[in-house]
Amino acid sequence: MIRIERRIEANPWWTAGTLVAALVAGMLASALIVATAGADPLEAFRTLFFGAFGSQKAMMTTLIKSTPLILTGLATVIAFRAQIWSIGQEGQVFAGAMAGYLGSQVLSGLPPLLFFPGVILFGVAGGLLLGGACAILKTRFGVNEIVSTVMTNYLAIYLLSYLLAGGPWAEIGDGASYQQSVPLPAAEHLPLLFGTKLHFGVLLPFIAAICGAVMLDRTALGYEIKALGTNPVALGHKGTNIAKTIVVVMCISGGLAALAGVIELYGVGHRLKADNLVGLGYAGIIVGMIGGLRPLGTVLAGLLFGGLASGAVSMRVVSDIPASLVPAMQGIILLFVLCASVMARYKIVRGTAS
Amino acid sequence: MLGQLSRRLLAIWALTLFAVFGHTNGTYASSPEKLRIAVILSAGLDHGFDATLIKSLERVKQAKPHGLDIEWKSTEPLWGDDAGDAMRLFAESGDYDIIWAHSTYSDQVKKLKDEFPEILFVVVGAGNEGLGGNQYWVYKRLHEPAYLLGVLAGRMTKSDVLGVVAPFSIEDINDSINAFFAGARAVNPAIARKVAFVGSWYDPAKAAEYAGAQIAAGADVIFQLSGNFKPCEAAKILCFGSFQDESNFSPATILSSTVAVWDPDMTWIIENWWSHKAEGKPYGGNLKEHWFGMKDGGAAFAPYHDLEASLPVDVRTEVETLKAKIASGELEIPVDLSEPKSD
Repeated sequence: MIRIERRIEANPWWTAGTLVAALVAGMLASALIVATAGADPLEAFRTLFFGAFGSQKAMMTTLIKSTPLILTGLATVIAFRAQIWSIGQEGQVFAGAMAGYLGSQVLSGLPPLLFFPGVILFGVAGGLLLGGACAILKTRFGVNEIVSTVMTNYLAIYLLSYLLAGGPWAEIGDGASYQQSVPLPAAEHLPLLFGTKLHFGVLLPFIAAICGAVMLDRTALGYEIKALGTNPVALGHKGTNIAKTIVVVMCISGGLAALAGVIELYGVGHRLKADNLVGLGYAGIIVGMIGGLRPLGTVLAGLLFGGLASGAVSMRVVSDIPASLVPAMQGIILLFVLCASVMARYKIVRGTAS
Repeated sequence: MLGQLSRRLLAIWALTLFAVFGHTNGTYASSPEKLRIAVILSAGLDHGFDATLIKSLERVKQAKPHGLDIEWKSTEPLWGDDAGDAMRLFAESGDYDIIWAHSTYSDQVKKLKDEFPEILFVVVGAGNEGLGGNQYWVYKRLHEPAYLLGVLAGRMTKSDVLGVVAPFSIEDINDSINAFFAGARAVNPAIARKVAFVGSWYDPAKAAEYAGAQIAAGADVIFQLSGNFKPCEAAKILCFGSFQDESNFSPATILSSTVAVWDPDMTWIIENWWSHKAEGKPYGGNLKEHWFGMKDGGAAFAPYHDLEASLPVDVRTEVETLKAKIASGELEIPVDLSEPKSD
């Protein structure tokens, strides 16, 4: 007799196995969609793969596109591990870009060694404040964080729209503005790494992921975050200030998402504009989930999604396969991975119940 | 003996080399026969802005300027860095002579244009920076047909309140809205204006909400630049479309539309490319907006279709007269870029 039993402890091999199976199943399901659309699935995957990882240049593009996704993914991991369902990453990315842009107005003219850390701190502070505000709403007034973070997303997006639509930061032409700031001067573009097209910011997600992993596994705060997620009552009895922990978690999460925004501004877009930011926060939630809510898993998921994004562009250019396949694929993979994460918690047992 | 042989070999080599390179040089100097265009779309083919471009491309292909065999490939909508990556892939493939980026992409072109000096880059509309060189800046002003729509609206309204719903307050939208009201006030000085900006390029629900609010506040003609005509249908009032003949979206309410025609723009670009390729003239992209109006066939006014009979003959004649005056250059519609406000 074969039964399904809940695992007491996760088996890393089994978890990894279900994850790989989910990815493969997701690819197969996507291939079916391509085939029903009348295109060749092999051709689709080939162009997608070469566009993402097929050359040194493609890999650099993938890395640049992964950078914000990993950061917003990490923002998701920190919050979700504490069972704080913050979906404010989108607004925090905008807040990071806006606060970072404010930084350039204050710090303009400083030597690069002071300027870049300065504007990054400005940006991070923006997201931190937005996340912290939702945390205080939750701990003081019992406002559900899902509601408050969705609302602050709108606040941040419309604040940017106000600032750029004829507002104080708009680039004014002959008569009207075009929803964008003036471009940043070349001296304020993030420096490039060793003459490649990679900007300095691509290092930050990896540093952040390592710090995040160490923090979650090796520090008291990490223990408290995980305990907040599994049993807040017990954590309270232990003497931890739960309200304070919630505020800390949401500040870190907001700061990480904001880092994505400020890096996009100084490393990629080089002018403040919603087009360059939209969607990065929401995608981060999927990336964090697929990464199994683990920092290192999130790095891998972010690289996968960055690869899908850059592969999608080359698929549009090289082949005639509709690139809207890629968002569909992302959704399908997410569904399979979520199924796998449930599966990973169970085991198949042969024999009678003990 | 050996020297003679090698000299002869050398001569044969030289002849062969001359034959090979002389020949290729010959074809290089002759005129190009093919023109390949890569198009970066910004909104998708459901939108007038992109749909009208593809229609123009098809007409220009049929017209075969300089006997050119024109081919093109278009992407789905791409923005920001993604658009830049797509342009780079098109450029690096070496398969394209013109990269037509159909909106605000000068930030991306700036990073590419010097690396690919033989490719002619095109950017379109407001928000671009005039970079010159091999970047040409196409601009579309539809203020002239919008003025004519305004004249119609001013004549047809009973409440003297006109509504306008538009995506954003930007230069190449403000020009149309201001001209619309200028036309209306030219024939009906009592006109009161209602203006709403949706704050998004695509948000039909909000576009309907704003139009509905304007109708509730007394507007009985709506100039809809955000593409939702349901509120006009519900209130059974006249609506105007923008950028393409939108009549088929709502034949019973849409009296006419402003229409973008890109043929003269495309011809202008192809002429510049031709004189560079065939005659060796250096590219000289424009630094300031460059546009073709109704006089040059760059903007048009959509037909009335089934609603023609409902229009009084004197109004129809008045509009025809004005149209002829604009087309001949006798009447010039001023370009007003300021942000339109409600009264």
